Amino acid sequence: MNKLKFKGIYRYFFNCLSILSAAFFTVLSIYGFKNELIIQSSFINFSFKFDALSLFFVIFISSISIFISIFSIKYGEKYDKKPSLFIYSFFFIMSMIILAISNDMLTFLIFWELMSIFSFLLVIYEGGEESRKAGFLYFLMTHIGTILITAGFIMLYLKTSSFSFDSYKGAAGIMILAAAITGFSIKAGIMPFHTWLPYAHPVAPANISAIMSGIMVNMAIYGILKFLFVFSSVPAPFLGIILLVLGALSALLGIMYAMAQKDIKKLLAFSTIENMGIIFMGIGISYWAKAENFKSIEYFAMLAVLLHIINHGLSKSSLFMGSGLIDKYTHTRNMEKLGGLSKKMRQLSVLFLIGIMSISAMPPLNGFLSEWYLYISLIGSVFTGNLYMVYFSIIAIALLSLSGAAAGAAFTKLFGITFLGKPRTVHAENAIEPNIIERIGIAIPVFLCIYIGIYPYQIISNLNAVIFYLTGGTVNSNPFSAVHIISARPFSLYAPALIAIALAAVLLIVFFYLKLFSSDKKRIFETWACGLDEKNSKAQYSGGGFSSSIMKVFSSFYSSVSEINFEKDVKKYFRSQSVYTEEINDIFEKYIYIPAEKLYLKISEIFNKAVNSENINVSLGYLFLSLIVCFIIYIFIIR
Amino acid sequence: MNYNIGHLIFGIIQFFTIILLAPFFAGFIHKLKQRARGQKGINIFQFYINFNKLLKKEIVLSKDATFISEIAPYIVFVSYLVILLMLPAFYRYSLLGVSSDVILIAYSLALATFFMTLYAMDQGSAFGGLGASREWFLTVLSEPSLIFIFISLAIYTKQGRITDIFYFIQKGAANAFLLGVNSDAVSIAIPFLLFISLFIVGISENARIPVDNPETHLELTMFHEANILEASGKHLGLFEYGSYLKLTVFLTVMSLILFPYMAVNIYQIPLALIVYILKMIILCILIAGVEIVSPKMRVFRVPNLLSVSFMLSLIAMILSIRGF
Repeated sequence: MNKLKFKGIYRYFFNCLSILSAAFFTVLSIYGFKNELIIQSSFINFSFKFDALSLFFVIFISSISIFISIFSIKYGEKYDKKPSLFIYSFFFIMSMIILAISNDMLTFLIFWELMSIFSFLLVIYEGGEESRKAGFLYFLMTHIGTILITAGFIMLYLKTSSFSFDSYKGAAGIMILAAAITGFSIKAGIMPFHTWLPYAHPVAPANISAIMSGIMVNMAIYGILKFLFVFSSVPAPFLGIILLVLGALSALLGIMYAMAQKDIKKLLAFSTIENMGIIFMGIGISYWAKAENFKSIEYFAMLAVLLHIINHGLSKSSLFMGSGLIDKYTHTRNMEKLGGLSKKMRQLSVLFLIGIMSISAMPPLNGFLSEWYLYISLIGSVFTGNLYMVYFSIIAIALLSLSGAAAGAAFTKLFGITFLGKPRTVHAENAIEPNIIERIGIAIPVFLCIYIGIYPYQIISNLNAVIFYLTGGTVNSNPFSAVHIISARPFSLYAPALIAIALAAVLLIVFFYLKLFSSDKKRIFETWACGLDEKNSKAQYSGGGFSSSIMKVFSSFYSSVSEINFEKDVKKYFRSQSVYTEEINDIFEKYIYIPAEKLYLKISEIFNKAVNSENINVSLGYLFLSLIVCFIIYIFIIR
Repeated sequence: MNYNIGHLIFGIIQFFTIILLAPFFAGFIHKLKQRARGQKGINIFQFYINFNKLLKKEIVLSKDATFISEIAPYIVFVSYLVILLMLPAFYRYSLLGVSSDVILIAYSLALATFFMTLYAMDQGSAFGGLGASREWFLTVLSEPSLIFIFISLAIYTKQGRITDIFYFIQKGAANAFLLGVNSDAVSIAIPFLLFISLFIVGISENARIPVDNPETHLELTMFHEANILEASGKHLGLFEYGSYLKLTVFLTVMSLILFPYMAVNIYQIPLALIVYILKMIILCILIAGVEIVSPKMRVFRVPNLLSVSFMLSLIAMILSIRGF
């Protein structure tokens, strides 16, 4: 008993340390120094600076990690046996916060690498075949990304011969941007570089998935914003269009794959890809508008990006925490084995419902607000009449609306199958209401979702500083003034406060009208099942069945294989059992990654046979040869 | 737009008029269909009587029902009411006209669908899951064309609020056809294409015959009805009334695309109301006609129909980009 208590100490200590240091950094960023801080050591100088963008990201990271740390004070109980989780997650959070304020290339890369390594350690934390595989894939992909980012930075260094971010302003050419953005997109999980994300996010413990999905992928967005809006020198409108198209594709395919999943956390991971796609669309439009000099579109798209970062962070972290609680109290993440949790976990289900409404962009919550600003900037870019942009923004509107509806379907499936209906297995029957601290950890971001959804004007006027830093302009945060997108004429207005008041008022009127003029009698009875008194809870609709009709229409997106096995020689309707298996493949994985892997293995085998030998002289010869090649590259290309 | 007390009062009058008329339109379509089939048919005001009766009945809740069953009927009903608050029918200044963004309207419809399908899955009935699955199947396919219709209207008129959009078309049409002044290019093709497109979306969203047949209780044909199979008492009343309101929303938008005439001041209101009701009756006859002549479609044929609607709205959107 004594020993167990001692083990809990790591949990309390490191979670409280995370909370305190996150709070410290928030206070520091708001009231602290505005000048550059340089810490000198014997061989490397660390340089930090708070600008508007770092300020935004520091507050964002710290607040969400505070909620998650509050949550893991209790949730972490089951990991007490291996307390390295808490140590790693503390360093993980810290490396992200310091990453956001670092002001030179080496500091940035060091903390970027630390973030990657600690997240890798957390992905493989639970051990086992699955998490090792996911961890390896994550490690590989994230380092390919880091190589590209480093290449971008090296090119910047060669151009400016300085390590400091201050001298990079307006220095990055198109090659540098392309390399860095590709590298960052791998971290953000943008299609077609997303393959690691749906494996790595579900295998980590839920509080870590919440950090990875709510915060870490946004660090890639931080890098992209820094490169595109601060470092970039040439206006390259086509780059914006490429980002828009990639984002739209990720948004659609991400949510389409999310719909096909059974695992709750895997569904949420695919939904992260969708939301990153939406953020990319905003960045693409904003950058394009900057290059083509359409000021107000640029500001609105940037507002959509920043708002969506916040909204996605809040709702996704709360949903991942909720899925962790489901896992903790039912011991399964497979939604086909759950059901009826709403009766057992009443408060959690309310919180989860609001998180789901927020992430599937239901008005008047915050998810809709950022999507609305994105729609407005898309319509604005149609108004510009620029040939390419009109073309691509119409496609983007179509894909965005399709993915919006599909998100509704996917999350109805998640909530309906998991929380509603009858319990499908014993796992679900034995669920209990989670601990109060765990519920508080989820409740704070959920309340913030409602607050930002209904009264966003405060946060928009604060975000104006960031928008000013990135684009040089601001948007109007007055609640009742319409947005102007291209001409001087007011275009449209979505006043969330007004809509929320209208909803509440009408709801109250309807409620009291019915209270007065209708019967209040209630009877509890069984669900009607065509007169049968069958108690089989498996007779409910399954998650696979729910999404199968949509998947059938969009079958070209999935290369799914399904198979029904049953005993032969038995009459058709009297089979004792039949087994249905379905396998949903990612088209990118099936047609790009797996063939690429096979090709790589084949080539390396040929290479191995051709050049490898056991003789040490030959190996030394190769070493000498590669040294000469390096010299040649240095002398003739770099110098 | 400056609002004064008159706008407020007539906005409220417009809101309650549409709410009160909604069951009439649904009943009228039903009556027409029944007469055309040679049946005697219901009373035209039958749906008012039904609603009143449902309010007096007791609610039978399932043993497996949760809080969703208690709140979903209200939220579904209220989200349609909020759309009606934004929508101008015969008076230009609707109550929420200042914030009547078209995308907001499309997403509020999705909010109602979201809660109706959650209600369906709440009781653990296999019918509910089936209905929810099919409802989302339709919504996923029709949402893009609905948003395209609204956005092409917004692009065509350079306005984002639905009150402004239809006022703009009304002014343009009046200038062109009455005074002969073609100040802002008035298109006939765009509203026409959008009307057909919206008609198809309206049929599929409102559970009308080529897509769904709410009069039968056979699970093969159920979309909307399967969702609310477990509802009873006032919950059923709210769902039913909600479906009339949804039909009215679609018919009103169609009527405004077809013939935009909204009262700008008090004196025009009686005429505008009469024109509105006439337009709605014509549309009801049109819908009843389609329902009579067409058989129920196979579920997986519906995407073809909806893709026609999507294509038409895409063409309308391309036409409405006229260089700015």
